[in-house]
Amino acid sequence: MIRVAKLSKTYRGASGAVHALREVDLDVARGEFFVLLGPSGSGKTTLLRSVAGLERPDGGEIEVGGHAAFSSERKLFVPAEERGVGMVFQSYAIWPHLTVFENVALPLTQGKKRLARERVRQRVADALKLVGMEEYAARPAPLLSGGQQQRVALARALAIDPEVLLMDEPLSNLDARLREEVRVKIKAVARELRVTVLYVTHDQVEAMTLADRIAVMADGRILQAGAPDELYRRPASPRVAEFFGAINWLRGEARGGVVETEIGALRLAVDGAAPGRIVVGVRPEDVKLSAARAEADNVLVGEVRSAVFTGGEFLYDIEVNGKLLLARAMSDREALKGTVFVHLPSARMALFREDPS
Amino acid sequence: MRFSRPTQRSVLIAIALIPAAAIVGLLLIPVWVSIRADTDAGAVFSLRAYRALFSDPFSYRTLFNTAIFCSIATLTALSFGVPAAWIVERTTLPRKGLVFTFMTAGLLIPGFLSAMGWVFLLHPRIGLVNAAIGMVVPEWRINIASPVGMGFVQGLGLAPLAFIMTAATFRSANPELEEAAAVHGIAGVRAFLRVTLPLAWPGILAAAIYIVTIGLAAFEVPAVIGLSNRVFTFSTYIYTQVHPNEGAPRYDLAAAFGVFVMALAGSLSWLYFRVLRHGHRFAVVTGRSYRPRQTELGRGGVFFAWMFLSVYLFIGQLLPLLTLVWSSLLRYFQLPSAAAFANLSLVNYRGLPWPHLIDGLKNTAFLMAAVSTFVLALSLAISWIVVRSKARGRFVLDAVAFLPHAVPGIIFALSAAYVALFVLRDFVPIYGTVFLLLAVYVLERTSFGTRMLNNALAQIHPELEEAGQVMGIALFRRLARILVPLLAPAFLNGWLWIALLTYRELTIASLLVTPDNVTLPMVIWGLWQSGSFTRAAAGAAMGLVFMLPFVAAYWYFGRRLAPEGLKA
Repeated sequence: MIRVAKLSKTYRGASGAVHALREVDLDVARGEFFVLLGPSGSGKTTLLRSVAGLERPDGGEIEVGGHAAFSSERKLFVPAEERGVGMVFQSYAIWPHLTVFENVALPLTQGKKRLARERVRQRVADALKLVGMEEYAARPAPLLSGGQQQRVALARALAIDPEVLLMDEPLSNLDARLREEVRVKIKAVARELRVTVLYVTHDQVEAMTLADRIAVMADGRILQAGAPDELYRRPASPRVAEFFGAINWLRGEARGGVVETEIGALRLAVDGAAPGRIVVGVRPEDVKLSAARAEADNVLVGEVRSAVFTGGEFLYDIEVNGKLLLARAMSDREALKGTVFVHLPSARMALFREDPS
Repeated sequence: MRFSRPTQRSVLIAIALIPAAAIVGLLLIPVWVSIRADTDAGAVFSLRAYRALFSDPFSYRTLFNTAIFCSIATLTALSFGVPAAWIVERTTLPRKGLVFTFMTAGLLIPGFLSAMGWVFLLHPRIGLVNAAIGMVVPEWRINIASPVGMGFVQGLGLAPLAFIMTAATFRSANPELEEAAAVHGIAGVRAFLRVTLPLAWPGILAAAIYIVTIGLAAFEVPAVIGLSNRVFTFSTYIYTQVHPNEGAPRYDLAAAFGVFVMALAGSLSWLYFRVLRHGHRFAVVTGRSYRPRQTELGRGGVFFAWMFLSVYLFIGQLLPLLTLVWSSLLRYFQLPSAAAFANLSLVNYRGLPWPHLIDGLKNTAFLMAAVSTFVLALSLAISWIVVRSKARGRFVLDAVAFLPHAVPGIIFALSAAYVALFVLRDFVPIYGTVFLLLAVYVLERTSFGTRMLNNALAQIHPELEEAGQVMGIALFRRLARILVPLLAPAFLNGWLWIALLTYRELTIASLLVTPDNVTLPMVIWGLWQSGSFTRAAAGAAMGLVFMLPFVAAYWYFGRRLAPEGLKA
């Protein structure tokens, strides 16, 4: 539904050139909820705005809904107003001089496809109903709360019946509780309408809960794209792994099925890893603690240095052979003290070859 | 057929380029005129006009007069405007909102009307004040018809501008810097001299440069007071070269002087922006809104502050206008006395050339509506390209749109007169029509329109427009349905302001008006020049009356003035 190939964009300013996009490739299938995740300056917003037609890339190709929208080779640039996509902006961009109804109706009366008055009324009513704002149709936009503006923005984007919906950090201006509520709403609406969504965020929880697939971006490149659990469990690089939360890194030397790390020898899930320097990543929740020695591979002895109660769980600092490991465990039992056994399941380890440089 | 975006965008760019090209053209014409001469052998190009200009003592006297006039005007404007700004922004003076009201009202008083009032007050022979002085010291006189006198009158008129510009500086002063001084034991006058004033200095300097630029271009006051007494400054010099009492017009000399002053005014504008930038580097203006420290005024302080402000409001604004109205009710000018009161009559009003006056009023009314509308339409096109588009060369477009602000209006008038008379004469006979005035007024005011809309557009989140764009609304519909409604307050404010400036415009009209396209200010000035002073006063009083509804509308709709980019 959205196809991006070798897309690049460079901003040239007084302080030098910024490579916002470096030959980015992307494929979003029909009906897919696709999230672009990355820190600010990673190029995710530039990519989204390029798909919308609000930025003109320097090179590459964009296809939206099966139609070529941009091609540097063919010198083709379809302007934003011809692409027929819906978009929700970070600021919501609710027109303050119009009512809720007029906000949703304006693209239908002034836009590419202009509808008869009766159809407009029906469409607006449907769209407002979809987001639960039908009672607010007559309300002037400045009298809406942030969450209401957000929902009107969604209704407005959906009212034009787009095949593709673009969303630029739509939740970043909402407070935490409202964010969760609107997130659920967005997901439900997207599924109901089976619209293809391209969604930009810097919040990995948001990305994980919403996405069918996520592309992690940094420095104008896509580091890895895949389903949320795939990115979490099998990150392609330490950088991607770190993006999805805390992780313990252990350096070592691989020999056959075993890696000699700074805290001791660990058996790997795969036999015969190529010998050499590698880094092993273990998530805190995969560091299993017990007072009694477990019957398994990779059980080490450690000391509890600190245990922090955070509500649903404990966060432990465990010293193992002079190195501190972060561990996370359910708080349904008493906190562990003193000497504990640390089990690192080999299936839950992420292995990376250490950069030769 | 529906246009796709690049086409609509190109249309908009074309609309914006028309005034820009015209401005550049009008500014190049003096250069061309100044080096070109017709001889029997055809046109020749030489620096003859410049040699003639700079070998004539009259040119130097004019330059000298202009320098004195400018300095006195700037000094006067700052000595009233800066303390007033400090009082309003940095003291606890009660009811100081009134000061703002009167000061902005002062910006609207036509300079040539005040100048007429001052002639009635300080004319060497008939002046009211001089007559009073003469009763005490017979041989003593104040001569208003001198560069110093004219500079003083001009300065009184520019004081509101100095006030508004420096008030912004005082308002944005960071109170922590003064608090730091106070904590370290520097207080009172010493804190004012060592901290407050140096911090406000870039703002005051910028205002001073700005006012010098306006003084350099000033036409109305020197025209009303100086022309009949043969005391010339730059603008009236150009006027007399084009409208000489005897002999043929000397466009070449006028153009050469124009080029010289254009260079001067250009450098001043450059300096102005440099000082402003330096001020920003000073980090005095941070954009954060502070509540500046306010100096507590005791009872004595309040008294002195109101005294000072009242003195300015009285002599700077009320006195000349009152004198004007008083004079209009007299057959010949005399001091207020019982006998004079008995002689008051409306004979001057009955004697006004009413058909002519009505013609002028009609043309002026048409110009007010048309100029404001065209300026805002063109400015929207230019400002959108400058602020919103990423078109290459948009900053050049912005600078060109600003040029009429930096260049004296009389130079525009000179170029336009030349083009209309000698270039367009045969195929577009525009000279002597109100449309020539319309075109030049519009070009002149586009600088103000674009400054205002640049600021207003920058306040509107670009996503409001992008939302419309992504959802299929084409450029012109976005402008009409989204931007214009959002900019409505700025548009209304700007429209009224431009209309009022058009109402009082005399400088450009002086070179472009003929009996067929006369404007109201030109009728009044014409009466004045013909020597019927009291009748001119009656015309002026009528001018004030006609203006009232607009001033009222302005107060009603747009109390918030756009002082940035004003040209009084």
